[in-house]
Amino acid sequence: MSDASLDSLLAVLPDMGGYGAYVWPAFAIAALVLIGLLVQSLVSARRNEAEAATLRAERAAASAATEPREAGHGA
Amino acid sequence: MAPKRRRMTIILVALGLLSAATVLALTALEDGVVFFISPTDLAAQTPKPGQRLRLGGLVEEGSIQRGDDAQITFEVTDLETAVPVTYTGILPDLFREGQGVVVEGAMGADGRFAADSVLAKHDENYMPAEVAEALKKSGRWQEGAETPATTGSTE
Amino acid sequence: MGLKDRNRPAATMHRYANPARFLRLARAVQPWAAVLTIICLGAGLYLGLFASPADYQQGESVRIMYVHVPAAWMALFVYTSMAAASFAALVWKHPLADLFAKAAAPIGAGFTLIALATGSLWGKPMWGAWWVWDSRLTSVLVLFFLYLGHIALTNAFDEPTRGARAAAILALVGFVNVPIIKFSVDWWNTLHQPSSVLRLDGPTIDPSMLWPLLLMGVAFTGYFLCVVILRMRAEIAARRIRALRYSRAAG
Repeated sequence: MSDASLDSLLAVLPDMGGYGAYVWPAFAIAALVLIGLLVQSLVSARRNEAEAATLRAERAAASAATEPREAGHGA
Repeated sequence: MAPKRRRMTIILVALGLLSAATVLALTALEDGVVFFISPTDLAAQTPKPGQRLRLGGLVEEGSIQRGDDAQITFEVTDLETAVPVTYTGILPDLFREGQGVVVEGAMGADGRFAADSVLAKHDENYMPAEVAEALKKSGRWQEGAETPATTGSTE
Repeated sequence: MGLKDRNRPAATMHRYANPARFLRLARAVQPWAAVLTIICLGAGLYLGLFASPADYQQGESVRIMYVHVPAAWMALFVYTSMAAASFAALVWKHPLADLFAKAAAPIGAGFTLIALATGSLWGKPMWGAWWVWDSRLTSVLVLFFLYLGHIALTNAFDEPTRGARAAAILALVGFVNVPIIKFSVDWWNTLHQPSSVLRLDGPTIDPSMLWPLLLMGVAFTGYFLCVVILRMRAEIAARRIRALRYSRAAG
């Protein structure tokens, strides 16, 4: 973000008794770190769980395909 | 069960030794760990001229004198000893009489501490201005001497 | 190698038994933690930013406290929980303990980063310096490096269990830093002021400022719970993927 747009953003927010240039960036940094971590964790949980489910379904399908033959052997 | 007990004993003994080593190291390095010394400490150790150090304490009430060009003199006290300080430059917003400060610089030949940086130190009390006023009015306000940290005394 | 292969089925069973139960519990806890976080965060932010009074000394800059202090609490709390988990991992080989430590470390590092950055933004106008090397600030910087070291060690080995073991030892060794951070402001002269909330003689903060602070503390704790569960779920799934690929390659 450029200095000018940062200044105009700070101008819109309450000036916090002249400390706005310190207060708002502090909250912004906290929000950035926490939201970033949350999104990254959400995405990797979704992706990994989906991939694990796909792999398990593939294996289940593969073992279902081999099962009848084994059952036939047994009988 | 036995290996678990053994692992636990090893870990606890190792942590105990590590803690002991840390305590010893920090005690030995105490002078390096403290951020500033008090005016009384300074009077006791008579530093070499030009030796850089940090001095912490309260700005003595009524001691602030402003000169030309942002020059300022004031006294830093731990309520036992006061040291005169000279400084030229921008002061932090919290700087005022009765406030905790840490000044960095060296003792001059004239017995004044020539500071090239002044940091304000605030205490651990947080309250709205009205509450502070009410406390002052009711006489329950303890100015300055709340904690050793604000007065800058070491033990 | 032969010994390891023989142990593998048993180890796999052990690894799966607990995570399944954990996942059920996690799915039950997660929505409640999320709701708690959102409510407390909303209330804490409103009170902290707008409805609470300015400080008699620090004016409106005191509002930085409402992110700085809870982040610093969490930085210490998360590390302490990681040290406890690492102890359990080393002594009892609890399968979820390593998983927890690995999931918690990046969150703890995030909280520590927030505490450092917001502290700097608070220090400039109040103290007159972005940074000073006093014992409180320095020991928190060391904590940040411990978190980074933990993350690096966890991922440094081809075999995940070796990385987890090395990281667990680091977490325990680094734990000596936690009491140093907490008591640095009492033991030594620091520029940082002593504790205002967690002290023996009770808080030295006016209730109108203590409430938003505590609400933000609860919100950050709830956030940690939500995100650590998410990260543990992601890691459990990643291990399943590895195990399934391994069995496919082997079979």
